[in-house]
Amino acid sequence: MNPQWIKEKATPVVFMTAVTFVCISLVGLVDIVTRPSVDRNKTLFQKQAVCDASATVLSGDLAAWYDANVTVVTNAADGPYYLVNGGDGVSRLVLIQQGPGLWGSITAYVGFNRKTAVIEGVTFQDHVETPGLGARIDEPWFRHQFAGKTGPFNELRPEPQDKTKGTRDAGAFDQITGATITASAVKDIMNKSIERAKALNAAR
Amino acid sequence: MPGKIKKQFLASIGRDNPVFVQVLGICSTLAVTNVLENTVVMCLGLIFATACSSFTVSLLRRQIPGSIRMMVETLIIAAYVIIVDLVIQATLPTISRQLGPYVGLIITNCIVMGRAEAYALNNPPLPSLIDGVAAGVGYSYILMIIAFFRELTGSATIWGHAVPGFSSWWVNWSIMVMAPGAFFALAGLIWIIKTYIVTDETGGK
Repeated sequence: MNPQWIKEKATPVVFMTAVTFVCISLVGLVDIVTRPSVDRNKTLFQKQAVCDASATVLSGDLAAWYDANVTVVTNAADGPYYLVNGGDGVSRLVLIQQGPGLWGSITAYVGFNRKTAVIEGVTFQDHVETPGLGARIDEPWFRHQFAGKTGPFNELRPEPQDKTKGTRDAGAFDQITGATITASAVKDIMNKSIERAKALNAAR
Repeated sequence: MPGKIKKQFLASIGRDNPVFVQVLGICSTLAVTNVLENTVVMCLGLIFATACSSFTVSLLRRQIPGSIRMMVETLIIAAYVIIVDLVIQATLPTISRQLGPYVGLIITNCIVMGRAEAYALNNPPLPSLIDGVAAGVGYSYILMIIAFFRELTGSATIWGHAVPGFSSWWVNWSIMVMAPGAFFALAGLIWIIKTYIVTDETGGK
Protein backbone atom coordinates (compact mmCIF):
# COMPACT_ATOMS: atom_id res chain seq x y z
CA MET A 1 0.00 0.00 0.00
CA ASN A 2 1.34 3.38 -1.01
CA PRO A 3 1.85 5.52 2.16
CA GLN A 4 1.08 8.66 0.16
CA TRP A 5 -2.29 7.17 -0.82
CA ILE A 6 -3.07 6.29 2.80
CA LYS A 7 -2.21 9.80 3.99
CA GLU A 8 -4.06 11.70 1.28
CA LYS A 9 -7.07 9.51 0.52
CA ALA A 10 -7.73 6.86 3.16
CA THR A 11 -7.08 8.87 6.33
CA PRO A 12 -9.53 11.71 5.53
CA VAL A 13 -12.27 9.20 4.67
CA VAL A 14 -11.72 7.16 7.82
CA PHE A 15 -11.46 10.28 9.98
CA MET A 16 -14.62 11.83 8.53
CA THR A 17 -16.52 8.58 8.99
CA ALA A 18 -15.42 8.35 12.62
CA VAL A 19 -16.33 11.98 13.42
CA THR A 20 -19.69 11.54 11.68
CA PHE A 21 -20.40 8.42 13.72
CA VAL A 22 -19.54 10.16 16.99
CA CYS A 23 -21.60 13.27 16.16
CA ILE A 24 -24.64 11.29 15.06
CA SER A 25 -24.47 9.11 18.17
CA LEU A 26 -24.29 12.20 20.37
CA VAL A 27 -27.24 13.91 18.64
CA GLY A 28 -29.19 10.63 18.70
CA LEU A 29 -28.59 10.28 22.42
CA VAL A 30 -29.80 13.82 23.14
CA ASP A 31 -32.81 13.17 20.90
CA ILE A 32 -33.71 10.03 22.86
CA VAL A 33 -33.35 11.90 26.16
CA THR A 34 -35.40 14.93 25.08
CA ARG A 35 -37.99 13.04 22.98
CA PRO A 36 -40.48 12.41 25.85
CA SER A 37 -40.51 16.11 26.82
CA VAL A 38 -40.78 17.24 23.20
CA ASP A 39 -43.73 14.88 22.59
CA ARG A 40 -45.38 15.89 25.87
CA ASN A 41 -45.02 19.57 24.89
CA LYS A 42 -46.59 18.84 21.50
CA THR A 43 -49.62 17.11 23.05
CA LEU A 44 -49.99 19.89 25.61
CA PHE A 45 -49.86 22.54 22.87
CA GLN A 46 -52.55 20.67 20.93
CA LYS A 47 -54.82 20.37 23.99
CA GLN A 48 -54.17 24.00 24.89
CA ALA A 49 -55.07 24.98 21.31
CA VAL A 50 -58.46 23.22 21.59
CA CYS A 51 -59.01 24.87 24.98
CA ASP A 52 -58.14 28.37 23.70
CA ALA A 53 -60.08 28.01 20.44
CA SER A 54 -63.21 26.99 22.33
CA ALA A 55 -62.70 30.01 24.65
CA THR A 56 -62.78 27.76 27.69
CA VAL A 57 -61.63 29.34 30.93
CA LEU A 58 -59.79 26.57 32.70
CA SER A 59 -60.12 26.24 36.43
CA GLY A 60 -58.22 22.99 36.86
CA ASP A 61 -55.94 20.63 35.06
CA LEU A 62 -55.79 20.91 31.25
CA ALA A 63 -55.46 17.17 30.60
CA ALA A 64 -58.37 16.30 32.92
CA TRP A 65 -60.61 18.94 31.30
CA TYR A 66 -59.64 17.67 27.85
CA ASP A 67 -60.41 14.03 28.66
CA ALA A 68 -63.78 14.92 30.15
CA ASN A 69 -65.08 17.47 27.63
CA VAL A 70 -63.48 16.99 24.22
CA THR A 71 -64.54 14.51 21.53
CA VAL A 72 -62.49 14.10 18.37
CA VAL A 73 -64.50 13.43 15.20
CA THR A 74 -62.19 11.71 12.74
CA ASN A 75 -64.56 10.48 10.03
CA ALA A 76 -65.37 13.91 8.50
CA ALA A 77 -64.62 14.48 4.81
CA ASP A 78 -62.60 17.67 5.39
CA GLY A 79 -60.43 16.21 8.12
CA PRO A 80 -60.85 15.74 11.85
CA TYR A 81 -62.46 18.28 14.16
CA TYR A 82 -63.27 18.58 17.84
CA LEU A 83 -66.54 18.88 19.73
CA VAL A 84 -66.14 20.60 23.07
CA ASN A 85 -68.70 20.66 25.86
CA GLY A 86 -69.11 24.29 26.83
CA GLY A 87 -69.84 25.09 30.44
CA ASP A 88 -73.08 26.84 29.38
CA GLY A 89 -74.67 23.76 27.81
CA VAL A 90 -73.86 24.86 24.24
CA SER A 91 -71.19 22.82 22.49
CA ARG A 92 -68.29 24.37 20.63
CA LEU A 93 -66.96 23.21 17.30
CA VAL A 94 -63.17 23.42 16.92
CA LEU A 95 -61.92 22.99 13.35
CA ILE A 96 -58.37 22.29 12.29
CA GLN A 97 -57.74 24.42 9.21
CA GLN A 98 -54.54 24.53 7.18
CA GLY A 99 -53.42 27.06 4.61
CA PRO A 100 -50.20 28.16 2.91
CA GLY A 101 -48.23 30.82 4.82
CA LEU A 102 -45.05 32.60 3.75
CA TRP A 103 -42.51 29.84 4.47
CA GLY A 104 -44.73 26.84 5.03
CA SER A 105 -48.20 25.81 5.95
CA ILE A 106 -50.11 27.39 8.85
CA THR A 107 -52.35 25.18 10.96
CA ALA A 108 -55.08 27.02 12.84
CA TYR A 109 -57.60 25.79 15.39
CA VAL A 110 -60.77 27.82 14.96
CA GLY A 111 -63.56 27.50 17.53
CA PHE A 112 -67.24 28.21 16.79
CA ASN A 113 -70.29 28.41 18.99
CA ARG A 114 -72.61 25.68 17.63
CA LYS A 115 -75.72 27.70 18.42
CA THR A 116 -74.81 31.19 17.22
CA ALA A 117 -72.02 30.31 14.72
CA VAL A 118 -69.93 33.09 16.25
CA ILE A 119 -66.15 32.58 16.36
CA GLU A 120 -65.10 31.82 19.93
CA GLY A 121 -61.34 31.79 19.53
CA VAL A 122 -58.40 31.07 17.25
CA THR A 123 -54.96 29.59 17.88
CA PHE A 124 -52.19 29.00 15.40
CA GLN A 125 -50.90 25.60 16.35
CA ASP A 126 -48.23 25.13 13.76
CA HIS A 127 -46.45 27.54 11.44
CA VAL A 128 -42.98 28.63 10.34
CA GLU A 129 -43.68 32.33 9.79
CA THR A 130 -40.88 34.87 10.25
CA PRO A 131 -40.13 35.39 13.96
CA GLY A 132 -41.04 38.90 15.04
CA LEU A 133 -43.13 39.51 11.89
CA GLY A 134 -45.56 36.85 10.65
CA ALA A 135 -45.00 34.76 13.78
CA ARG A 136 -46.74 37.51 15.73
CA ILE A 137 -50.05 35.91 14.73
CA ASP A 138 -49.44 33.95 17.95
CA GLU A 139 -49.78 37.09 20.06
CA PRO A 140 -53.01 37.44 22.04
CA TRP A 141 -54.06 40.82 20.54
CA PHE A 142 -54.04 39.28 17.09
CA ARG A 143 -55.81 36.03 17.98
CA HIS A 144 -58.42 37.59 20.25
CA GLN A 145 -59.69 40.07 17.67
CA PHE A 146 -61.61 37.32 15.85
CA ALA A 147 -63.66 36.35 18.90
CA GLY A 148 -67.29 37.40 18.71
CA LYS A 149 -67.20 37.92 14.93
CA THR A 150 -68.94 35.80 12.32
CA GLY A 151 -66.93 36.79 9.24
CA PRO A 152 -66.32 36.29 6.41
CA PHE A 153 -63.23 38.47 6.50
CA ASN A 154 -62.23 40.59 3.56
CA GLU A 155 -59.16 42.23 2.08
CA LEU A 156 -56.86 44.29 4.18
CA ARG A 157 -58.48 47.60 5.02
CA PRO A 158 -57.14 50.13 7.50
CA GLU A 159 -59.15 51.77 10.22
CA PRO A 160 -60.55 55.13 9.06
CA GLN A 161 -58.33 57.99 10.26
CA ASP A 162 -61.32 60.08 11.25
CA LYS A 163 -63.26 57.75 13.49
CA THR A 164 -66.35 59.97 13.44
CA LYS A 165 -66.85 59.34 9.73
CA GLY A 166 -67.91 55.82 9.01
CA THR A 167 -66.99 52.70 10.90
CA ARG A 168 -64.74 49.82 10.06
CA ASP A 169 -66.01 47.18 7.76
CA ALA A 170 -67.43 44.23 9.69
CA GLY A 171 -65.06 41.90 7.86
CA ALA A 172 -61.92 43.93 8.64
CA PHE A 173 -59.25 42.79 11.05
CA ASP A 174 -55.99 44.29 12.33
CA GLN A 175 -52.92 43.30 10.35
CA ILE A 176 -49.27 42.88 11.26
CA THR A 177 -46.90 45.39 9.68
CA GLY A 178 -44.43 43.67 7.37
CA ALA A 179 -46.38 40.42 7.23
CA THR A 180 -48.84 40.96 4.39
CA ILE A 181 -48.65 37.40 3.06
CA THR A 182 -49.18 35.90 6.51
CA ALA A 183 -52.19 38.14 7.15
CA SER A 184 -53.65 37.24 3.79
CA ALA A 185 -53.13 33.53 4.55
CA VAL A 186 -54.87 33.98 7.90
CA LYS A 187 -57.80 35.65 6.13
CA ASP A 188 -58.15 32.64 3.77
CA ILE A 189 -57.85 30.17 6.64
CA MET A 190 -60.54 31.98 8.62
CA ASN A 191 -62.90 32.16 5.66
CA LYS A 192 -62.43 28.49 4.79
CA SER A 193 -63.11 27.42 8.34
CA ILE A 194 -66.22 29.62 8.46
CA GLU A 195 -67.54 27.83 5.37
CA ARG A 196 -66.73 24.44 6.87
CA ALA A 197 -68.44 25.34 10.13
CA LYS A 198 -71.54 26.46 8.19
CA ALA A 199 -71.62 23.19 6.27
CA LEU A 200 -71.18 21.15 9.45
CA ASN A 201 -73.90 23.11 11.22
CA ALA A 202 -76.29 22.72 8.25
CA ALA A 203 -75.65 18.99 8.06
CA ARG A 204 -76.57 18.56 11.70
CA MET B 1 -1.91 33.02 31.48
CA PRO B 2 -4.92 34.70 33.17
CA GLY B 3 -3.69 38.09 31.92
CA LYS B 4 -3.50 36.74 28.40
CA ILE B 5 -6.98 35.23 28.66
CA LYS B 6 -8.40 38.49 30.00
CA LYS B 7 -6.82 40.40 27.13
CA GLN B 8 -8.18 37.91 24.63
CA PHE B 9 -11.64 38.07 26.19
CA LEU B 10 -11.74 41.85 26.14
CA ALA B 11 -10.51 41.92 22.54
CA SER B 12 -13.60 40.05 21.35
CA ILE B 13 -15.81 42.49 23.20
CA GLY B 14 -13.98 45.56 21.96
CA ARG B 15 -11.48 45.99 19.13
CA ASP B 16 -11.96 42.50 17.58
CA ASN B 17 -15.70 42.41 18.10
CA PRO B 18 -17.22 39.91 15.63
CA VAL B 19 -20.18 42.13 14.75
CA PHE B 20 -18.99 45.72 14.52
CA VAL B 21 -15.31 45.16 13.64
CA GLN B 22 -15.25 41.86 11.74
CA VAL B 23 -18.83 42.37 10.50
CA LEU B 24 -19.62 38.66 10.84
CA GLY B 25 -22.92 37.03 11.76
CA ILE B 26 -24.88 39.89 10.24
CA CYS B 27 -27.63 37.62 8.92
CA SER B 28 -28.83 36.66 12.38
CA THR B 29 -28.11 40.15 13.73
CA LEU B 30 -30.68 41.41 11.26
CA ALA B 31 -33.11 38.52 11.59
CA VAL B 32 -33.73 37.91 15.27
CA THR B 33 -33.31 41.34 16.81
CA ASN B 34 -36.85 42.67 16.56
CA VAL B 35 -37.94 41.08 19.85
CA LEU B 36 -35.58 41.03 22.86
CA GLU B 37 -36.70 37.67 24.30
CA ASN B 38 -35.94 35.75 21.08
CA THR B 39 -32.59 37.52 20.82
CA VAL B 40 -31.50 36.40 24.28
CA VAL B 41 -32.29 32.74 23.58
CA MET B 42 -30.55 32.95 20.22
CA CYS B 43 -27.46 34.51 21.87
CA LEU B 44 -27.28 31.82 24.56
CA GLY B 45 -27.51 29.17 21.83
CA LEU B 46 -24.74 30.85 19.88
CA ILE B 47 -22.43 31.21 22.91
CA PHE B 48 -22.88 27.50 23.67
CA ALA B 49 -22.32 26.46 20.04
CA THR B 50 -19.25 28.67 19.54
CA ALA B 51 -17.63 27.65 22.84
CA CYS B 52 -18.23 23.91 22.48
CA SER B 53 -17.32 23.70 18.81
CA SER B 54 -14.11 25.72 19.30
CA PHE B 55 -13.19 23.44 22.20
CA THR B 56 -13.85 20.26 20.22
CA VAL B 57 -12.11 21.46 17.06
CA SER B 58 -9.12 22.43 19.19
CA LEU B 59 -9.03 18.99 20.84
CA LEU B 60 -8.92 17.36 17.41
CA ARG B 61 -6.70 19.97 15.76
CA ARG B 62 -3.64 17.69 15.42
CA GLN B 63 -5.71 14.81 14.01
CA ILE B 64 -7.94 16.64 11.51
CA PRO B 65 -6.52 16.14 7.98
CA GLY B 66 -6.03 19.58 6.36
CA SER B 67 -8.00 18.72 3.24
CA ILE B 68 -11.26 18.02 5.09
CA ARG B 69 -10.92 20.40 8.05
CA MET B 70 -13.87 22.60 7.07
CA MET B 71 -16.16 19.60 6.64
CA VAL B 72 -15.18 18.33 10.08
CA GLU B 73 -15.73 21.78 11.62
CA THR B 74 -19.17 22.10 10.02
CA LEU B 75 -20.12 18.64 11.22
CA ILE B 76 -19.08 19.39 14.80
CA ILE B 77 -20.88 22.77 14.76
CA ALA B 78 -24.01 21.17 13.30
CA ALA B 79 -24.06 18.50 16.01
CA TYR B 80 -23.88 21.10 18.79
CA VAL B 81 -26.51 23.33 17.20
CA ILE B 82 -28.95 20.44 16.79
CA ILE B 83 -28.38 19.59 20.46
CA VAL B 84 -29.18 23.22 21.38
CA ASP B 85 -32.32 23.07 19.22
CA LEU B 86 -33.51 19.83 20.84
CA VAL B 87 -32.88 21.15 24.36
CA ILE B 88 -34.79 24.37 23.60
CA GLN B 89 -37.66 22.33 22.14
CA ALA B 90 -37.79 20.22 25.29
CA THR B 91 -37.38 22.95 27.88
CA LEU B 92 -38.57 26.23 26.31
CA PRO B 93 -41.27 25.07 23.87
CA THR B 94 -42.91 28.49 23.46
CA ILE B 95 -39.67 30.23 22.54
CA SER B 96 -38.72 27.33 20.30
CA ARG B 97 -41.93 27.89 18.34
CA GLN B 98 -41.22 31.60 18.04
CA LEU B 99 -37.63 31.15 16.87
CA GLY B 100 -38.69 28.59 14.27
CA PRO B 101 -35.85 27.89 11.87
CA TYR B 102 -33.39 30.43 13.26
CA VAL B 103 -31.78 28.17 15.87
CA GLY B 104 -30.84 25.71 13.13
CA LEU B 105 -29.33 28.58 11.19
CA ILE B 106 -26.65 29.06 13.89
CA ILE B 107 -24.87 26.29 11.92
CA THR B 108 -24.25 28.74 9.10
CA ASN B 109 -23.32 31.64 11.39
CA CYS B 110 -19.97 32.93 10.20
CA ILE B 111 -18.74 33.64 13.74
CA VAL B 112 -18.85 29.97 14.79
CA MET B 113 -16.94 28.79 11.72
CA GLY B 114 -14.70 31.86 11.84
CA ARG B 115 -13.51 31.18 15.39
CA ALA B 116 -12.95 27.49 14.66
CA GLU B 117 -10.89 28.30 11.56
CA ALA B 118 -8.98 31.33 12.85
CA TYR B 119 -8.34 30.36 16.44
CA ALA B 120 -9.26 26.84 17.54
CA LEU B 121 -7.24 25.10 14.81
CA ASN B 122 -4.00 26.67 16.10
CA ASN B 123 -4.53 26.89 19.87
CA PRO B 124 -5.02 24.54 22.83
CA PRO B 125 -8.55 23.59 23.97
CA LEU B 126 -8.96 25.84 27.02
CA PRO B 127 -8.00 29.14 25.35
CA SER B 128 -10.17 28.07 22.39
CA LEU B 129 -13.12 27.53 24.71
CA ILE B 130 -12.61 31.00 26.21
CA ASP B 131 -12.20 32.49 22.76
CA GLY B 132 -15.49 30.89 21.73
CA VAL B 133 -17.30 32.25 24.78
CA ALA B 134 -15.76 35.69 24.23
CA ALA B 135 -16.78 35.79 20.56
CA GLY B 136 -20.28 34.70 21.58
CA VAL B 137 -20.51 37.37 24.28
CA GLY B 138 -19.14 40.02 21.92
CA TYR B 139 -21.85 39.08 19.43
CA SER B 140 -24.58 38.82 22.06
CA TYR B 141 -24.31 42.20 23.71
CA ILE B 142 -24.40 44.01 20.37
CA LEU B 143 -27.48 42.02 19.39
CA MET B 144 -29.17 42.81 22.67
CA ILE B 145 -28.50 46.54 22.30
CA ILE B 146 -29.98 46.45 18.80
CA ALA B 147 -32.95 44.31 19.93
CA PHE B 148 -33.61 46.67 22.86
CA PHE B 149 -33.89 49.71 20.58
CA ARG B 150 -35.77 47.89 17.83
CA GLU B 151 -38.38 46.47 20.19
CA LEU B 152 -38.68 49.77 22.07
CA THR B 153 -39.12 51.95 18.99
CA GLY B 154 -40.92 49.41 16.81
CA SER B 155 -43.37 47.88 19.27
CA ALA B 156 -43.07 50.23 22.31
CA THR B 157 -42.44 47.21 24.55
CA ILE B 158 -39.48 45.62 26.32
CA TRP B 159 -39.50 41.83 26.68
CA GLY B 160 -43.13 41.94 25.54
CA HIS B 161 -44.19 44.28 28.36
CA ALA B 162 -45.39 47.84 27.94
CA VAL B 163 -42.98 50.48 29.24
CA PRO B 164 -44.66 52.73 31.84
CA GLY B 165 -44.76 56.36 30.77
CA PHE B 166 -43.60 55.52 27.26
CA SER B 167 -45.87 53.00 25.52
CA SER B 168 -48.98 55.14 26.04
CA TRP B 169 -47.86 58.06 23.87
CA TRP B 170 -45.25 56.50 21.60
CA VAL B 171 -46.26 55.97 17.97
CA ASN B 172 -44.63 52.71 16.81
CA TRP B 173 -41.95 53.04 14.15
CA SER B 174 -43.09 50.02 12.20
CA ILE B 175 -40.01 50.06 10.00
CA MET B 176 -37.89 49.19 13.04
CA VAL B 177 -39.40 45.69 13.35
CA MET B 178 -38.89 45.06 9.65
CA ALA B 179 -35.60 44.15 7.95
CA PRO B 180 -34.63 47.75 6.94
CA GLY B 181 -34.94 48.80 10.60
CA ALA B 182 -32.25 46.27 11.47
CA PHE B 183 -29.91 47.77 8.87
CA PHE B 184 -30.49 51.27 10.23
CA ALA B 185 -29.97 50.14 13.82
CA LEU B 186 -26.81 48.17 13.05
CA ALA B 187 -25.31 50.88 10.83
CA GLY B 188 -26.11 53.54 13.45
CA LEU B 189 -24.50 51.47 16.18
CA ILE B 190 -21.35 50.77 14.13
CA TRP B 191 -21.14 54.48 13.33
CA ILE B 192 -21.40 55.51 16.99
CA ILE B 193 -18.93 52.87 18.18
CA LYS B 194 -16.37 53.60 15.46
CA THR B 195 -16.63 57.36 16.00
CA TYR B 196 -16.59 57.56 19.77
CA ILE B 197 -15.42 54.28 21.29
CA VAL B 198 -13.12 52.22 19.06
CA THR B 199 -11.53 55.15 17.22
CA ASP B 200 -8.07 53.88 16.29
CA GLU B 201 -7.72 52.65 12.69
CA THR B 202 -5.53 49.73 13.71
CA GLY B 203 -7.28 48.73 16.90
CA GLY B 204 -8.85 49.90 20.12
CA LYS B 205 -7.67 52.52 22.51
